[in-house]
Amino acid sequence: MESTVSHLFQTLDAAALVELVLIVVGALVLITLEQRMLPWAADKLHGYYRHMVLASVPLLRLVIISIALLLALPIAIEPSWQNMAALLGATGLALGFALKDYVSSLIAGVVSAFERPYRPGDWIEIDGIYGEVVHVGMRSVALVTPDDDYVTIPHLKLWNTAVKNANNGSPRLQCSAVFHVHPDHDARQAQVALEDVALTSAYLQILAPVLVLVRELEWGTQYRIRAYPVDPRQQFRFTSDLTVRGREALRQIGAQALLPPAEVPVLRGASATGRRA
Amino acid sequence: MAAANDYCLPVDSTPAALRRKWRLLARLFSRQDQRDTLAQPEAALSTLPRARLDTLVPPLVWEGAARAFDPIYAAKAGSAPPPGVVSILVGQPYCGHTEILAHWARGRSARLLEPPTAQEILNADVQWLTRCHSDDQGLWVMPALERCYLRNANGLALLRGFLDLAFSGALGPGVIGCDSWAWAYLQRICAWPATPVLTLQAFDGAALTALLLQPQAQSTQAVRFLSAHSGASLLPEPEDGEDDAAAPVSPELRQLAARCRGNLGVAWHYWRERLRTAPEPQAGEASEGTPPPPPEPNAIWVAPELEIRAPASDAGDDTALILHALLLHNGLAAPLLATLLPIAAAQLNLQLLQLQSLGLVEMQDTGRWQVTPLSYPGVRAFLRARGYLTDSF
Repeated sequence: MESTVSHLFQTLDAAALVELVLIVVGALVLITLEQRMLPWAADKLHGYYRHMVLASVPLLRLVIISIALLLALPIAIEPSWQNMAALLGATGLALGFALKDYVSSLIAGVVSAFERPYRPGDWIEIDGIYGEVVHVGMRSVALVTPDDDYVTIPHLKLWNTAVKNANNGSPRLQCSAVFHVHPDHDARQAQVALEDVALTSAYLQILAPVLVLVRELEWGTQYRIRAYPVDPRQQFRFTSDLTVRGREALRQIGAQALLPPAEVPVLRGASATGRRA
Repeated sequence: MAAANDYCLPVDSTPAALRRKWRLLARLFSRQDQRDTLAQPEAALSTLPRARLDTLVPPLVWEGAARAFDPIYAAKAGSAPPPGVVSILVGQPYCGHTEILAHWARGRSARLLEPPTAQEILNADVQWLTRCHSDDQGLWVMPALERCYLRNANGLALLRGFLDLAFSGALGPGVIGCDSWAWAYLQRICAWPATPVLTLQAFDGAALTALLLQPQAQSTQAVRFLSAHSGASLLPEPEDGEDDAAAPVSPELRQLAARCRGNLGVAWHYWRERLRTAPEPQAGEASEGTPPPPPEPNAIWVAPELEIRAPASDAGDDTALILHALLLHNGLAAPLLATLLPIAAAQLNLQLLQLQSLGLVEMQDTGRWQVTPLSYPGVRAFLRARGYLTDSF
């Protein structure tokens, strides 16, 4: 057995070792550079360009790692099908038992680079944690929540957890502002007033649709403005602006504000909290 | 004059356009402070006094544009348009759509409608609509539609009422003038019936050359406009013996037209800003250092292309909101701006002063803050890059 394994590897002389070290160091330098330079460049941009540059970070890293592996493996291993199969099989078995979750996260990381359920710059929710993706690593994805918490979530979650992506690689992110009023009012007038509130918001992406939804509940009428801010990072300021001015507009037409009764469960995120409202 | 859809952006030569884009890119990623990027006047040249500038490049007059508008209006709307036929003249900032329509209304003896006050707009005061009515159903002109609305939940009702009256024919036939930014916004706020939309065609290098030569034709003293960079003459000189139409266009003027996107008002301001004069040589100066160049009689020096004034690429949201609101309304007074924006009044005033110190905004005699003509191309590019609605020119 020992002799079989030893035959897998090439004899590493000094030149081969230097070559291997150069490949590893080169790959690390390139990865570090692209992980620093591209987000820096993206911060100078806005809109689609920002998202495009950010989204290219994990994909480019995967390309660098793949090329480094392709260059390094033939130096370290006698490049034959039998050797490759034996080595990968042995490695897989060992890792499968010892580092199952870690490897699973790594594989999910590779899958995420192609399926792109999230990219840097996206606003996502995983397991109830909502925030902006700031880094997609090999093993995990990092979010910054609206409360400025830095959260690291392993890619492993991809296999069995729903990932909600609010903007999916684009600058379009829908926001909602919800209002509850007493049913005794002119609903048409309220709808028009709230639509004007949205259309006149300084944060509004006016090229995107604006919708005011009305829903009659047992204890009152619910209005929901759905609209898009110019930039996803403005979502909380946008929703706050809609809420403040929407309340004023409803007050002006004589619609009396209501609070949901205590026994009625409030819809999740029904306050000014961006798209999840 | 041309239909708004036929607006043709002036093109620059490829190398010059590439150089400009490279400078923009370099600026985007540079850490230089905005104040440091503003071009300084050439050390050896001095700016011209206002009176001299007004002689060389007199203020723009819009009678010619009003005369050009007349036949196009007649062709689009007919010689005696029926009530409800409304034409629209869309003008870019600093391109005088209000003045053009005021001249045209006088020539046509049309009724010039006054925009409502800000208070009337916010209160949706229908008294203003009543004032717009007239029994004679004659031709009317609303020269500045951008003054008839405010981007506020209460600021659209009066505008909608007016458009309803205008397009229903209750006011008679008419012409509406509108700023291009307000037009871009209002097209998404109101449903507009199919109607002719006209605009001032883009001023390319040739048109700019012809315009800048006009004062020289009336002057008794020939003036030469020389590039401070190369010494080449930028405008055809009288001894060239060619008429204005056939005069060759210098690359600098083509670049100026392309850089200003055909906006005549902006090009005019840029041109004036670049004019310089050389000081008279003093006796005894020649012996010290390098000898000065031989004096050019009647020479006006044109400084090299100025750096684009624009907000820093990492400027905050508030800066973008303020500049966008100013452009959408073609200028606003500070108290009104505070009403329209979710920014505290005190903070807003400080922001305006900061933008003023950067040369991005200025206060007009009317008390309105406005984006300066020299910063307009940079501000437009800044807002466009951030995804804000811009005009279509």
